[in-house]
Amino acid sequence: MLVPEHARRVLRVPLTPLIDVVFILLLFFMLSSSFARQQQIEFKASAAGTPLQQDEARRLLLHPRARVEVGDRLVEIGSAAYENLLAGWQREPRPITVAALQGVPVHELVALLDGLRAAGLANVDLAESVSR
Amino acid sequence: MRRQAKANKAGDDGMLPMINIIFLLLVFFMIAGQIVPREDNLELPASSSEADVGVGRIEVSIAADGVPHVDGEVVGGDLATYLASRLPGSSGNAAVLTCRVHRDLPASALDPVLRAARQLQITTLQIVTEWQP
Repeated sequence: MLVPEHARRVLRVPLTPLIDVVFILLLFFMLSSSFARQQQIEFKASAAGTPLQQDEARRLLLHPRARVEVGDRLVEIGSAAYENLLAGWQREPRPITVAALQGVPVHELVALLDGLRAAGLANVDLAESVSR
Repeated sequence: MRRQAKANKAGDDGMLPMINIIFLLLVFFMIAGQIVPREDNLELPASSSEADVGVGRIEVSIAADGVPHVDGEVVGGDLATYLASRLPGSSGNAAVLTCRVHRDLPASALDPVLRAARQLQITTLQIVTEWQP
């Protein structure tokens, strides 16, 4: 029996529009997705906006290039003197006041706060930056 | 004619592995990725903190131009006055102020935020950071 050509044709789902749409979705998600994890550093703001507290012994003034001024000493962050200082402060629950000299970038200040947090000194107040 | 139809069919079949991979990629980006609003000129500082950023808090963004934005709006005048209008209660005692600040700005860029926190009696501040192990 002779079957007409169009009757024998198998119905196929056209894939091209599907691929088009999937590609557009893929592009959208590739360009708009972010894999960076956003976290936060928390600190108390009881001294926020006030000048450095009078308790000179428990304040850190951040200088450029990872150095901090403690009292009248300039200590390099990560040095043995700095570690000893933090170890001494860990025994007391009083807050530590941190300020930065004007011009010190935010990422250095955050690195200092992060280091204090990692050392177990979470009770930190941030004061306004200091100009000299 | 018939040869051409056969060739088309073979071509479509050859596309199937590619479509499979594209679908897998699509599913990967949909599940693993996180769609966040793109903030131009705002690179977050890095930290190893594991604390998650809370939602529904007052958020101040300071991009590379140093101008504070609250919920995408530029704060022209005093930041404290602007924030006071957004606080749920009359006092900010229970509020948490979240700050996104560009990593290369001077630390003095945070001063208006600190002053606003003092004026509004906000006791807790957060700086959003990018996690780095």
